[in-house]
Amino acid sequence: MIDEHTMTPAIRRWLDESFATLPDPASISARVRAAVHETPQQRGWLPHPEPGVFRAVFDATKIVLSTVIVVVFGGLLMTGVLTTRPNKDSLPAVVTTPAASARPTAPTVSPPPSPSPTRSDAAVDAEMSLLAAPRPIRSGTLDTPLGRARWVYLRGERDLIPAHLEPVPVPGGHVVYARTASGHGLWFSPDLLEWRMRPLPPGRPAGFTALGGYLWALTLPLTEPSWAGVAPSLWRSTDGSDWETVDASELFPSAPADIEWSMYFGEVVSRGAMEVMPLAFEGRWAASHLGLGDAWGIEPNADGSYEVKGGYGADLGTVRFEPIRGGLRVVDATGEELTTLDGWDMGFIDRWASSGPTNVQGRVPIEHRIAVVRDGVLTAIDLPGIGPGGGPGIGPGGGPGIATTDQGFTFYHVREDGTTATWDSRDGMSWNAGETIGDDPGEPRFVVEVEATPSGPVLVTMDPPGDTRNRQRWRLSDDRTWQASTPGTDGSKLAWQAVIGPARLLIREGTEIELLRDGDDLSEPMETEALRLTPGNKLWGGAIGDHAVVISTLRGGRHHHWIIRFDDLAD
Amino acid sequence: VVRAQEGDETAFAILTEQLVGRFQRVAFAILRDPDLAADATQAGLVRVWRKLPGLRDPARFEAWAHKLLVHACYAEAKRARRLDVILAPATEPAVPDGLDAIVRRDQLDRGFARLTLEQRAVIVLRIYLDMPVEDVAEALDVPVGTVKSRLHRAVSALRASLEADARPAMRTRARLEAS
Repeated sequence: MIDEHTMTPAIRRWLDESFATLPDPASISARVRAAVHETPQQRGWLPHPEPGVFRAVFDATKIVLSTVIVVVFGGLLMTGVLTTRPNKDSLPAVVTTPAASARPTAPTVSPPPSPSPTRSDAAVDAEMSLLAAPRPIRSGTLDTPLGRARWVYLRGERDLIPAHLEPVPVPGGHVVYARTASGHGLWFSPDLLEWRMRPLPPGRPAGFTALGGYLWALTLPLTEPSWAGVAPSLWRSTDGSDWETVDASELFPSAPADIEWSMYFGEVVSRGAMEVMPLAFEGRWAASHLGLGDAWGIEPNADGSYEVKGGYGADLGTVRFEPIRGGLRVVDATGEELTTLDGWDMGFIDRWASSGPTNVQGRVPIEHRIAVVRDGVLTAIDLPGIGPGGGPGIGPGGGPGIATTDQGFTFYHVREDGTTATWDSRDGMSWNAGETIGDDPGEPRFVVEVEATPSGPVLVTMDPPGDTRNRQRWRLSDDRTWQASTPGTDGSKLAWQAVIGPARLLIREGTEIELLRDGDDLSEPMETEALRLTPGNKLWGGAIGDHAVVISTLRGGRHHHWIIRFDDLAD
Repeated sequence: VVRAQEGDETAFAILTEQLVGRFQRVAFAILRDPDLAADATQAGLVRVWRKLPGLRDPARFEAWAHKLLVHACYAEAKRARRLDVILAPATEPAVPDGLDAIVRRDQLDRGFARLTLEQRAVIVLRIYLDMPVEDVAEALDVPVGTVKSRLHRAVSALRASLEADARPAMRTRARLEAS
């Protein structure tokens, strides 16, 4: 028995003894060093800008604003946006578009879209950390109509494991690039069952894809909060283990170099051995030139002045906007002129104030290109005549979508008026402008998503935009006629299917899983009791090559994944 | 510390080497699981790195860093609970010794496992690390008075637990529940 007098030394001694069993902390140090290299420090205590800084910031912005005014307002007036929709939606995009002015064709200017949370860098922030490879919760074997299958069950909180696992084959196994709101990681498995971490290139992640037999990663310097005029590094790897930097400059449009481009990888679509991927390029809002955090806004005071708010709530001071010939004059509280905003009127100031802080990372799509891999080089191909400008964005990544057709590939690009421009390619390398969809009644308008299915492209529309009750799926009933169906009413309860060896694995609504052998007219339910799939949960997933499948669901706030590998397909 | 504050990764690596062993022991004492302790240690050190620029007084680094570690331990324990990990001592005696010592160690094992995370934290910081009460208060983000009362209650609870525990010691290893 331990009495009161011996308690403290006994605790010390006991703790010391128990510590003797701890492993060498060197491995922890190594993990910390790796994580630190990937993790930017939080510098939220930004200094209050001096008036001179404020002036300099305004001066820097002024050049951009001046350029933009002519282009954007001119474009808006030409396209009738300002006169027909003088509401918050028509707040000038304040986007750097010198590319547009440098082009022979008039720019198409779109209203500023909301930053898409699905964009690849949307979640990049100071909290970014490495995601550890998941450890199996359960594993086992299944007897299936296709023979024995091994399976593993993985699960984790939503910030620890992504909703979708998309294993990519690499020499010796598969890799999964995992990305959540709080971190990212590259996981490798030789058998799809046991996963371990693989290194990622150093730097702040800005994009990741698998295309043309290579893994490609875009990174930015850790010191940069986001795309801010710095050139990204493009990394290439064949196995997710060894990374090499390659030149990325050719990927960017040839427009003036002073645009602070950001680049986004879209969804890869393959047809035979050819893989193509849309590349979207965006320019950032002029307000981001303030570079003071996440948002910059103005709040009106009762006396007609405005409080300028920077990131982290930093108060940048009080200003007044005074109309002058051809624009606005900006003065500080003492009446000293800070800058002029040529071409702007008070209407812009009102819209700016009412729209709240402008997200400095908000960007506007300007260019779209197609990426292919040629001789190991990631190459961007121009789409003839697409011109600058963008729309609300389609495709799973919020960018344009590509689908395969009988003839090759079709690139879909939604226009602001709801029509969809297309470009066709037989080989993925040469693209020609195709028909415009949505000009005629009975055609899909306001496409929000493009699905590349084995039976052809599916366009998902939301007309009018934003009305989720009016979501429709459109398929080509022949080469030129589109037919709509409302999801859930076309008689199909099929959630998705995957080709597994000589069969197709079908998951219907609920948790029913069937294996359908091609050629037989017989579907056989797959025994899934061992997986402990809870009935009623929505399932999704996909094929991993032709011998495995991943089934996923969201339950209890966690992501759950079952990877099933069919071992006896050769039989 | 100042160099690391300015973003010098090499300086922080040196700091890490100085802290990692102690952090690992403190985390293990709080969590009673070596794997969780390793994860909490890593998370705590990364938090130190991330938040270092916000440390206004480098002289207070030790208490401040331990605060981040303790928070990382709490978060790790919460995460472990979510993953249905049953926390239990998983250690074996490092050095053979007499039966009395073994019994005493077993009693402490079980008694400590019954304490709350907060009680373990105050014991390890105050009794094992011998940190001043003021530093413990800063590390735990509580007033000095709370540290004293929490320490008193922790030691009392440990003593009561030991006195009530007359059964033979039995160790169980941490296990993942296959729910």
